[in-house]
Amino acid sequence: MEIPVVSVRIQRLKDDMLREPRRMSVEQAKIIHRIYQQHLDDAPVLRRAKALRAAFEEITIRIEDGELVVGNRTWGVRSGVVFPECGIAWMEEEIDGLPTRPQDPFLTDPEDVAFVKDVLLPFWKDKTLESRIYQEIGPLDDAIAPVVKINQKVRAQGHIIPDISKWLRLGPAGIKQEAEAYLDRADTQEKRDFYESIRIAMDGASTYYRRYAALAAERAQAGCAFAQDYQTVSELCSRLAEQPAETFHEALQAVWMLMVCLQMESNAASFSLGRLDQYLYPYYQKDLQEGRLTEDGALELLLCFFLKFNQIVCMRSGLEARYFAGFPIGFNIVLGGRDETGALLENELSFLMLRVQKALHLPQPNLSARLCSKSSPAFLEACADVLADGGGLPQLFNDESIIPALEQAGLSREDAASYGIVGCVELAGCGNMLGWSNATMFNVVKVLELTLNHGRCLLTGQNLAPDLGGLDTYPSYEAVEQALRAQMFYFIERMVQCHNAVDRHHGQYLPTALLSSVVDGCMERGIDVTCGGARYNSSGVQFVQIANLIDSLAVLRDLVYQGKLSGSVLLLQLQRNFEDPAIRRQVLEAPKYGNDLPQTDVLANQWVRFMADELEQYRNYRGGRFHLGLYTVSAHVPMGANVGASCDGRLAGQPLADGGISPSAGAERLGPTAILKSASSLEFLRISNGSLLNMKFSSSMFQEPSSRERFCALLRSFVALGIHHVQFNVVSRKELLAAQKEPVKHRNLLIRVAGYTAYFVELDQSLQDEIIRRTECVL
Amino acid sequence: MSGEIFGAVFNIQKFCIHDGPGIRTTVFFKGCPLRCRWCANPESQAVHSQMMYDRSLCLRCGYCEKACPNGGIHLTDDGVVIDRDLCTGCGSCVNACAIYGGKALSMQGDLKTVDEVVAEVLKDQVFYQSSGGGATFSGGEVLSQLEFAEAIAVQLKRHGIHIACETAGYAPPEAFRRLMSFTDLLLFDVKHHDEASHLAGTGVSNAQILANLRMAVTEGKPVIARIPVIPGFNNRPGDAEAFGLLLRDIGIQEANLLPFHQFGQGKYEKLAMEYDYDDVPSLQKEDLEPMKKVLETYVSKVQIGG
Repeated sequence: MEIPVVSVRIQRLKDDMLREPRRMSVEQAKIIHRIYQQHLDDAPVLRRAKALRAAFEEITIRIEDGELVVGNRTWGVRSGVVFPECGIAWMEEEIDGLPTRPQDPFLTDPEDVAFVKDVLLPFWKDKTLESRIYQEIGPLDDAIAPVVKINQKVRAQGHIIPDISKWLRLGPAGIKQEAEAYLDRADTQEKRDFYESIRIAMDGASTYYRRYAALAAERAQAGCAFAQDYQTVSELCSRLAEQPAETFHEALQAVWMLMVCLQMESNAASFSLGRLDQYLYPYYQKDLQEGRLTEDGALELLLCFFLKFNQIVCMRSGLEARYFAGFPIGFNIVLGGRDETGALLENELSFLMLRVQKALHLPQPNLSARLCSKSSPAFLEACADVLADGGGLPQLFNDESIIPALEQAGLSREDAASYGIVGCVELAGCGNMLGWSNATMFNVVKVLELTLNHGRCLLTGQNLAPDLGGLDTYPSYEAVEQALRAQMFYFIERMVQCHNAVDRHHGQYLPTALLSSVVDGCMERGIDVTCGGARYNSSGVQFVQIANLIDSLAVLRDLVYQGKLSGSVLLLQLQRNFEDPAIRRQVLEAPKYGNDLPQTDVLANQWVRFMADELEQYRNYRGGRFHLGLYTVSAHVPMGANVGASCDGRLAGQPLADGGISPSAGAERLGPTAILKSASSLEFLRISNGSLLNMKFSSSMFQEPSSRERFCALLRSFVALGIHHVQFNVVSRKELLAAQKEPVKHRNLLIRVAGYTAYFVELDQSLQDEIIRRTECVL
Repeated sequence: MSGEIFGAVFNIQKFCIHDGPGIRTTVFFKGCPLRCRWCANPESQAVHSQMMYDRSLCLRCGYCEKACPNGGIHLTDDGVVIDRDLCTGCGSCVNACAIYGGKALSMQGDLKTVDEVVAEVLKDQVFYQSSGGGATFSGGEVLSQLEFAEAIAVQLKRHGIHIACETAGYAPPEAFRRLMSFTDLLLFDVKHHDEASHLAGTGVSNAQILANLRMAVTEGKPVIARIPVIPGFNNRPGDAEAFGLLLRDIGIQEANLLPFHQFGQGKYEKLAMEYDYDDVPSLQKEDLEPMKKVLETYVSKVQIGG
């Protein structure tokens, strides 16, 4: 693959961006605080639209030197925005430590800190989303917290793909007209407020464009190397304030500006972009045909555009950062794939964007590639080429399993076929679906613990669930399963109750008119997206973690209830964190998920189906379904910290299996094909919220054409096996060193030795050293 | 029933990407008539199961001694001593070591039925299809368990699986012809061009081997000749030319040069076997470049590594 030249302009923009310290920003908080008090009597939707418009009018803006795509939500890049309406209680304790905390520190200005402490915190104490939710479900939420993490209590929802095509087609002025037409016919006050809010928000967005146009013109006049570029940017921002996008450059600017606007309205994670190569292609093609654009010109614009996605970050509390460590803001872009008739939709932009990713090597946008049975060899090779650099992008999705799963979840064939990815790996329709994909995380390993230990927590001894028995009393494996199901019912029911309250509070207190205007269904029905206006409404429940559950159940079924290990003895060992290493060895030696063994893998599918069936009994506040996800981002670490020793041999507090459907660390011993085969035994048709599989490869896998070919063949098999998602870590020297230190944890690390591939930790130290030295040259 | 034919297999390795085309599963048959002094898989030489003992993992707990029904294993200050004459390969000590000890003991070689091997190989069919891969029979020496291998191959062929055989080719012509009948690609070891040197290095003459190689080529079987390049044995001045002349004469179109490595070193100690190449450094890819250059003047396609 030809890597585009990173010009001096791009290199400087990138360096400057990464050099600029992250700062906490309260500028928008001040505006929200003021407008809220001025418009106490307005409906929340109207009040929020006014606060948003004020922000568009007042926020200090700047243009980075030489950038061709402009816009940000704060003056600085990568600032952490304080958003009082959602949840700021954590700041009370954490704000002083914000500049020095280990995970994602932000610099603070003493005046801003004083404003937060003296003004915001006291005033908003009982008015935030968080406090209102707590007032309603606090005790219940706390009671189930060891098992279920109810998300989105402290920030707006996000997790959605707006209708980018519509935004390009109409722009803020066109959408404003559309809202006005609906406003004329609106029959209730609620609807009138909603349409009026859209009108206000769109006015604000146009104003924001004009302010950037003016600033760019000012900089052009100041005369400098980029004067001509600033002039261009100024002109196109002026046009976009009033008109739809017409050129490729305008389209890129418009798409980015939409992302900025959505962030200013919601300050939320995971506003994703869907199939950007498709939406932008007509503009690209037209510009090429009409001689306005060259491929090199398009690359330079795309480089500028991709850089922007790294300029907005999410400021989280210390606790949240543990669950979403290093997880940035979730601007996901998908490339390639097919349509509902099976026709392949890869185009030149799919390839250009991969090349841009290779050149920039930045974490955002979170680039995803859609594979299907017809994916071109060139596209697979291009993906492999970017993956070879490490960093895990693009992650790969499988049209052949995802499209049917989304249809099963209620999407039309056409909407399912044009799916995109939200945030990390969540599946969603583009521009028509509020998936609430990260609604809750359900720790099934903890539920098993409570099932086996008489409803008591192994770590604290607290009663967290009803006592249905214990491993010392259940007479059969079937009795264990029955009790496990009953305990799951118990928590699922309470989880739904909590989530629905949270969902309702978002509709009540955090309606998002601007977002609603670009989600299909809302405008037509006059209902905000947070209240169920979208065509599709669902809530995603993450089942955490299949590998530990299955491996534990296999031990119970095949050892304990086959008379090879006493239930009472095992329970005692769980309580004592495997005081007896021999018992722990015995369970570690039992068959494990990830080795293509039908006897374990059949359990995996059984419990996925049970959970999916169970969730289907319920409806969320927006009238949509609950559906199942198998991914955890980084939550397997904190969630594992909360689980005592488990029957699979995992010690108390140790992380659960990673990813979502990955085998437990060190459990898989037969390599990548066996992992994929085990994963494929899951019924993906029922996993419509998304799944995550992590795999690791040595970088040498990508060096020789012959092994790269085999990697691409592995991807084709991944498609044929019907697994939703896979991502590849290409191993670094650092990891090899860590593997040397802790071999058990890295048992699955595959490495190209000489003429063959081997497990790194099984090699002699001297050879490992040699490989590390070799890898150093390679990476 | 082919399922009732047993054979000794010491490993079935998935995702092999250097033993023939595509993604493959390699079945390692135990037992080899050759005794190559540099052999990297000494556990593959004997047909019967063998105990492997890793001193560095041993906890000196003595549970293996208690577990052995024949009194064939003893704990000493320096770890355990296995009386290989008393060992029947029952595996009691291995189990004890896995649960109570440090996993220092392992059994090399498993008796498997044809059906078991076939089922394991078929598991990765989807990967063979997407990559043009298949199964590779390796060893040890597949010829040493020809009936077993043949029975496996017959079943795999019913599923359209491509079969490569990695062989030293040391067998009577009738036996070799049987091997060829189910093989789609031969990865044929040519360890030395000179008969006396071959005998000294491997314990057998290369006359029958070369005759079989010639037969395979004559009958149009796809063959890749593989030369393990062993320091001081077959990389002396003039060796490359001699190999070239030989391979050209036989009609070989493709050859691989496999650099000598030391991955087998640790296994000799674990098996209590003597190793002649203890202090010989591994060869690197670069070391083989001159030989490759020479060979390329005789054989159309030469690559370093498999």
